[in-house]
Amino acid sequence: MVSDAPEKLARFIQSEVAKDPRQPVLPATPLISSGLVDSFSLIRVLAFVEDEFGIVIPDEAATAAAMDSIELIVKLMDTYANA
Amino acid sequence: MPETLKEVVLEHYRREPERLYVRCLMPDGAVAPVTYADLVARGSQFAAALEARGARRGDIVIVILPHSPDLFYAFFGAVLGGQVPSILAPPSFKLNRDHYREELEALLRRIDARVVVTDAETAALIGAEANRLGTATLLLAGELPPDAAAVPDVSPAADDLVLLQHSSGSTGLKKGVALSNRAVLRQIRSYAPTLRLAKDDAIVSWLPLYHDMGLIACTILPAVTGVPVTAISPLQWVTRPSVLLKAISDYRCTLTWMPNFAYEFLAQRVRASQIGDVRLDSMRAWINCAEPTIAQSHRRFLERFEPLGVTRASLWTCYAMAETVFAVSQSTDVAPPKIERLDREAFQSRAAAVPVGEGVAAVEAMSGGVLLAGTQVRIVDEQREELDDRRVGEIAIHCHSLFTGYFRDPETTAKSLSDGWYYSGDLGYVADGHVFITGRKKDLLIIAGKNYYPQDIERVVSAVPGVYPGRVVALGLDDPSIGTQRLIVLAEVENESKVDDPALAAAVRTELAGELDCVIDDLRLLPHMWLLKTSSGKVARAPNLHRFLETFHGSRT
Repeated sequence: MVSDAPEKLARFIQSEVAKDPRQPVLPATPLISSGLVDSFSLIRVLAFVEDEFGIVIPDEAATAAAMDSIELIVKLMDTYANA
Repeated sequence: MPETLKEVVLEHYRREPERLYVRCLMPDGAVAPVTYADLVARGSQFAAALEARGARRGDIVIVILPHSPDLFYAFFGAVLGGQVPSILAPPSFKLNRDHYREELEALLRRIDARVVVTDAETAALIGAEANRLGTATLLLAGELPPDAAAVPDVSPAADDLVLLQHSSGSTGLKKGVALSNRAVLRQIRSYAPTLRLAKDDAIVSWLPLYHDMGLIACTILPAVTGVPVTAISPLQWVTRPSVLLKAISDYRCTLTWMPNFAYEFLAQRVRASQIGDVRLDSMRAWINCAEPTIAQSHRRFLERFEPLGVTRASLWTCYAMAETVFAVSQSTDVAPPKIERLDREAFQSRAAAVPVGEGVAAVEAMSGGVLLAGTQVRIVDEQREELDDRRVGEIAIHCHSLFTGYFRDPETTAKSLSDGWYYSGDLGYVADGHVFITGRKKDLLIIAGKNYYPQDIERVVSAVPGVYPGRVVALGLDDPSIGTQRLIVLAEVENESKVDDPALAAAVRTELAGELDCVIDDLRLLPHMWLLKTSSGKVARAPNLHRFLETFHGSRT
């Protein structure tokens, strides 16, 4: 259901929330711990996930550590896709 | 009247043990209420465990715990035991662990901290040994003996220190603001009437307790006045700011404190779908404090949330700092913040605050309200000579709740504390009894309510291989659209081929995130000799901000 999620997320993060749009956003690229995305932008990523894929990640799971790469975010999405 | 924080808490406990002190809202939706009976019972268990680890009256106890009831229990446990607690920020997952641990151990040595209270997760994260961290003994909150403990039989004195408030900055620059029982209680006893605080008030807060606004206004003030506080996890608030609005609606809260950026963040980022049937009309005070207040942020906040019951009269401002315990001045519904349009030219080139009408280039200033009872300010020049009203200078403060000094740092204390006056390093002016804060004399960046010293950022960036050592400036650029400052870093590179190099930029960002938990909004890697130096050979910040704006934004400051 969310097979194109990594590409869509990468495009969104690179163009909308990354502090340096020249940095490539690969599935394993650290986002928060690399200083590329600040924690105040996580709310925009969560909104994107909700609007684009209809998946709501609960607050206790939506931590900066759990959203530190596209891979991790996709894993969270898989966990809560049918919740 | 009780003269110590311990006595005040015990008095609430004896009179109304079942009175709610704090309601901790947990990110998973759980609600953990803490009554005064709980606070004293569990606090005494912490006190017994601290004593068992050798903590005596007057010893420093460091508390590093996430948002939880235990954070309050550990803090007040030390207070009950007559120790001096200091709450530090738990390490963010992105911090370089070895670096965090080294800095922490250096701080523990410097302030001779006896015990560190933390949890197993944090201890593991920073690689602490079984029961020690540097020179201090470890107390894991989860391993507290379950036995009931008596309230410790120690009676702190009014002039004993009651807590240390650590400022931001790396360990080298971290200052421990030492506060006595007397100072803290005097502050609360003049602040509470200013707020017209009553027993049926209810405070709500998402602020971290390692910050003075979270600790004094939203932890100590409730404990002294008996007004309950609903506490939200700061980390949850960042990803779901609407949790604040829901808590207000659920518990009919009446007061909160937030830095300016939070007004913009709430107005811009709360989703309509998260609001539901939330009502905010119980709120009588949203108090804007801890970074420069911007009238436009209030307007946007009001525009967004007026339909939910927010009133203009509830948007208050406050000027506060740890060195005076908390508030220096406060605006309220009866003394609303003044908003002035100032002649830009007079303000920028003559440091004069001259009100002008429409049609003249102006800067807008919003006041931090009127002085608290027992507080005086003087606006002074470089020689600390007093200036007239409407002249911009350094704000010096004299009040009955001044700090004792920076802990074990007489040199820094002597620089800012003189003859009972505290020289704040803030710039501002006084007009019609209102205090206006317009900037900083000292180098300090305040980004989203969090303080950074540019020297710290410059030191870390300078050490990244490829960056020209010593040729870095960190600058804060006010951005009214987000209600706070943006962090600009200009760094010269050693090798011309690395100008604008994305890989080097990534290395700089990673290093800064790991060492200072800090994100750069705009990083420029520049050729050698790009930065302007002063005649004394120092890289100066103001001229380089000017050059940055001219070069990259085609404008002048």
